[in-house]
Amino acid sequence: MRRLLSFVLKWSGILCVPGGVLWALSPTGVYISNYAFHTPNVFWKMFWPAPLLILLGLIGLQLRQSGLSGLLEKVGFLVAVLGLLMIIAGDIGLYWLGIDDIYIVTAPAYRAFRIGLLVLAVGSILFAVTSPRDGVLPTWGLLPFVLGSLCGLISFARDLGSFGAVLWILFGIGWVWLGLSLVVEGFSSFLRTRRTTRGGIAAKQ
Amino acid sequence: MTKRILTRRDFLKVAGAGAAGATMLGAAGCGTFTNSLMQVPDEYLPSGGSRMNVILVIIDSLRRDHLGVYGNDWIKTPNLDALAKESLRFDRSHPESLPTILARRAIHTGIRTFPFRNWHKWYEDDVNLWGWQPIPQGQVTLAEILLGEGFYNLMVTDTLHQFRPFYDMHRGFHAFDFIRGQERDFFRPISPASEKKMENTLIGGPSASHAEEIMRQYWANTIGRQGEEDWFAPQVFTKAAEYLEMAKESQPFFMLVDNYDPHEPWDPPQKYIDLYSDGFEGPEPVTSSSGPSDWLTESQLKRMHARYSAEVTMADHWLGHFLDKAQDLGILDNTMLILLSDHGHAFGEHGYAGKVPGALYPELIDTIFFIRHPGGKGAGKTSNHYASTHDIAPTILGSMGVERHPQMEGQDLSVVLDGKEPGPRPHFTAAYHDHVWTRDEKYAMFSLYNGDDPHLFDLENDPKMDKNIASSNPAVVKKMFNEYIIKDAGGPLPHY
Repeated sequence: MRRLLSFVLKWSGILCVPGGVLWALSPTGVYISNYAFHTPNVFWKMFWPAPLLILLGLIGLQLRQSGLSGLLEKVGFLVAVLGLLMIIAGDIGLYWLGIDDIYIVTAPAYRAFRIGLLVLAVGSILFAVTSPRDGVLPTWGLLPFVLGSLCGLISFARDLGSFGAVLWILFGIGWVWLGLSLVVEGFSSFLRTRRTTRGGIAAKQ
Repeated sequence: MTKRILTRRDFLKVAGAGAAGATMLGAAGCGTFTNSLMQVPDEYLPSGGSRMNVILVIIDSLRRDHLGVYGNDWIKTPNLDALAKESLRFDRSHPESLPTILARRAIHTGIRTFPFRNWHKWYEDDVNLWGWQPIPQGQVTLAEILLGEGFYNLMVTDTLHQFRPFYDMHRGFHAFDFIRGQERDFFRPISPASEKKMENTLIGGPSASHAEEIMRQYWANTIGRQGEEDWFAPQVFTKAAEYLEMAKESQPFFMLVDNYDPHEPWDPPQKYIDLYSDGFEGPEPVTSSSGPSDWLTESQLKRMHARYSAEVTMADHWLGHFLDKAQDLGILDNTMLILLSDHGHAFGEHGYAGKVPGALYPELIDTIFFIRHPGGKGAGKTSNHYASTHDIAPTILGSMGVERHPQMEGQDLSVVLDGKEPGPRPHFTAAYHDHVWTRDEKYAMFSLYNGDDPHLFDLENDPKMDKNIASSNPAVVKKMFNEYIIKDAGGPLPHY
């Protein structure tokens, strides 16, 4: 049981992949929702799994490299987590609980959603830039992720139409890329270990 | 933490990764980057924010000094007074330009119509006043912006000038109802029965022929009215109340209720006239004839004023009906309500009756302006800021955190609700046809567009503007014309 839990924790970073895919598909989801239901809200009501999966993936990543991470990386992680929680809370509050439909001058749910997006982008950049060089995430995975997060930051700041939608998609792809880099790096590491072990056995024989 | 240095190997890895990513995008069928941009939907952010509804009520020709809340002690406006107590009230509101259509252009666009550059009459029979034209094609309206923000836009109006050919004040509204028949709306053909009504109508003065045309059409339009519900203000506010029930299902909504009464002709049910006049012999002064008022006897002028006041009270009564409906539906709990008038009307003050461009006195240039916030912000407070028609659109957008259109020139007055100042406005300028008007803390001045025939008044000692002191203060006149009017106009004013 303990081994299973350890395995799940070790690889839960992969959840960034489905989370990122869902995120990247959002503009298409909004389009379909508008087309089918004449409102984007049907899609947004179902959006929360995307940030939730990313959140779980991010926690998984952090757990794997927590021993190596510095203060700034931890801050970046916490900021990104905060952003994701705000997005999830905003989405639930806005589209499930209808908080903003009662008295909406301050629009707490909507504001939480929009501010959460910005917080997430800033946290993601900080997290990636300060991630430990010899941690579980390779540089070739982190740098495109930083670029994706920058794209996200721009698209979250204001509505940029189709261009903004492309940037939004790139933000999602950044998370997919990060998750995949974890898989590739893990698999490479597994192969290296296996070769070393085999080499060691062969040398002994 | 381990020191991070980007090595050449790292760079090559990232470059390789980027190339792979690009390949992935290509493989996913995105084609070129430009093509993918074209294919991507343009909506990607959740909508929301301050989604309170907005109701904007325009009451045409309502003088500021004809409301109890502004100090009047004889006219009955209980609903307007009650609304004012729940609202932030501006005590120095003036239209940036007048009359009707110019004020509405500014309200709809947030752009000043002053100083009427590039104006031309839009068709032969259109009103021949400088700046009187539809909203120019390149200008974006408040309703169009709110449409993009997901608002459901509704408009009810009997302000007939908006029904004329080419007029486009209903741009951006999902539904609009034109209540037909006001004033000289070409609604019904003239008949012998309507002609008979002319016999008891007082026509005369400097614009007699125009007044006669108006009244001939008006009587034709209104023949056969039965109950009070058939009058115009009742029709407008009843229809607006009906719209409210539908709008409740389409929140957030923006509703414009543009009510023409108490604009002339003043023809309210007798019970309202009896509130202010107890007997009159002779043809009824139902409409003015803009110009000097000396063609009217004192009793005719008083009767005209009483009929106007009666129509103010009627409009107030039916506004109350509309507000009650909004209250019953719970809409006021989540709706910002702005109410303003576009200009006033003279009844013999300073020797004029009607709306005379060369008589820009308080009875014509002072308007009412309330903002009722659902959260009670600013309730019962007053502001001395110069509030105006072109501030409406920026104020509505600002209160909801919606970005204003870069063309907009007005100020966001919603900050006043929070006790802040909207930005310096040490003086204010306005215009009506070939005349310009300006004021600051101490003086008010109006003149022809080129500065000729100036009238200057000391507002501290003469707030009703009775004593023209222009001849003894030429430097003040010159300063106000050059530093206020010409500066605000961005150069010499055009003339036509």
